[in-house]
Amino acid sequence: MAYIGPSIETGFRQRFVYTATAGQTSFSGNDSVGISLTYTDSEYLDVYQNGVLLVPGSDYAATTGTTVVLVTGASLNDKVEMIAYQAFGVADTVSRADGGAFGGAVSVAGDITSSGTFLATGDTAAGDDAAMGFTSAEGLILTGQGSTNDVTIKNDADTAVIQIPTGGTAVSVAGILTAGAGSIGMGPAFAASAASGQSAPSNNTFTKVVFGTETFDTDGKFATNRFTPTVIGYYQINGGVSYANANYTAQGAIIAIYKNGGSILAQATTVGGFEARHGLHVSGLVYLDADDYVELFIYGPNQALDAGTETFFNGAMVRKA
Amino acid sequence: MTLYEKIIKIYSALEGKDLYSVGIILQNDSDGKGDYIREWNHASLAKPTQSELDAVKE
Repeated sequence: MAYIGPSIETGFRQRFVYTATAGQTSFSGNDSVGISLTYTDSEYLDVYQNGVLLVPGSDYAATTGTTVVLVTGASLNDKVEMIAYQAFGVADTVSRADGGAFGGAVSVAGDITSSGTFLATGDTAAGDDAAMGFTSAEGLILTGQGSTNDVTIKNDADTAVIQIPTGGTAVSVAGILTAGAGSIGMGPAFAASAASGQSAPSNNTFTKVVFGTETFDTDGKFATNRFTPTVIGYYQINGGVSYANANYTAQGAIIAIYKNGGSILAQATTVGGFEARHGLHVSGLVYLDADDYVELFIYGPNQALDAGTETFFNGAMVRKA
Repeated sequence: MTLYEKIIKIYSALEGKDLYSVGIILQNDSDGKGDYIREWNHASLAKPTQSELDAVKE
């Protein structure tokens, strides 16, 4: 069988001998015959003190490749001897101690355990049984193919949590899908009503309705009588105003939802003419982008508005853009 | 006196009219700054100047 170790010039075994000074713990550099201490793998290093083999870790540390440090300082003239072995010398190998890169595919019969991060750099392909990959555009890619599912993600109890059926694009989620703000069903929503003391709008003047009471405001997007959701999408917006009970001359009135300062949805009717409360209501779908806002305006007689639940403004995202 | 009332004093022909229907939009943003003329698109009546509005007395 051919010799597969390091070349003869390199040597298979190296010996270093030092004569200690009193209390010396660290040994490095040239030994007693001028050979500089070096070892490639601490697992293949034997250290003797006056002929007694020392225990790695307990008696000494050898981690740098050029230094051996005793736990207990040596006595004057102690002989400290190191025998370093070349663990392997074949050129086309990956170092156990230093790691490296394999040029081709690697198959492992058992599990692979890493204390670091597994970094995939190649794309997966159709037909991969189970592959994890990466492209700069797609990021992390998981590809698989099975008879029922192509991809299954399980929890610690080995129960399927997320499944992508074979050849399909639908995703099955076993539990409750919790999503962030802006996701369907998780968009901003608010509801407000007028507080007491609502002042009467000027006659024939579009007047922004003041809402002093917030029933809810899921994301803190309603402020100063204005709803600015900041999440792009389609919103159902509703507004209602009631004039307080009174008898005054019948007059046209308009309730309007303003978007960014201009009317976008409005409803007109006649109020007054007999003693009663007269209500107006407007609602509809409004597209709002990241900085759009909506407000509620009333136009009509100079009559007091009902405070409380009869004057309201509310809305919620119903579809993400 | 409200802005609406001042306008009616200047243009009595507008009394009883629905201003919005004749192209006039008065607005109040409930920000403490009061009523203002947002749009004036009346077919024949000119938008009153601020000095005309200020001159209107009770």
